[in-house]
Amino acid sequence: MASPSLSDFIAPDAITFGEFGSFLTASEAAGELLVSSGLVVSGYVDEITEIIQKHGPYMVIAPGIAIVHGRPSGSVLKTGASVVIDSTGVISGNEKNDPVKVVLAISAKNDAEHLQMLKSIAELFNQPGMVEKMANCSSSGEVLNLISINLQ
Amino acid sequence: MGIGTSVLLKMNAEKVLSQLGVEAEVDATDISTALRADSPAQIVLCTPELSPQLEGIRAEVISVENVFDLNELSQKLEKSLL
Repeated sequence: MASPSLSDFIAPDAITFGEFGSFLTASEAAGELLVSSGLVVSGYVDEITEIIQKHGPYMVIAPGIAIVHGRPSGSVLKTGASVVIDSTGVISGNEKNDPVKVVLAISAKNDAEHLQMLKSIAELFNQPGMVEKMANCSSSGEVLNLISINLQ
Repeated sequence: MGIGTSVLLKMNAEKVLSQLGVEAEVDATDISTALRADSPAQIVLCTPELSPQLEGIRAEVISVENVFDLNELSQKLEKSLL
């Protein structure tokens, strides 16, 4: 069996679109999607908020994209990811990489799955222009399709 | 903290180092580990937000603006190592 790709980790209802107004709101929305998809309990969203407030926008790791997570703690039920897309973009304070248009929230139940998921994220977003392509998607189907055609 | 981002940076650093033909051991750590006096690291890679916290350590600190840009990583590591 082939190793799971990013699209296998994203729950079907864990992709959403909107104008969130702030980076924190967009990140919390991504966290809430993990909760509603049964991947984490609600305390995980508080952890995401806390990390952003305490450490600043270091998780905006490339132009237009942030990868947010809580702690690998008891709050995590399953390994998975959610996607929030705000095509207008929100300001995180990370000047080089703002505005943020794609927020990926991740949860990891164990190291092996965590690594597999991150490997898949790197493979996808190492491809130039991928963040912008994802920001321009307007449905979950388009996002999942974009991922599957760009990952073997 | 930094579990996700540092592992991504580690993966891409390993990829670039092997392309450059540099043999290296790359670890993803938290900032307190990077700050330890007995840290064996020759280079510490981090995002720009964290570099001020790493000022004064023995290792060379390289801040990476775009973790997904293999060219940026490659140029910065090449400048430092080759």
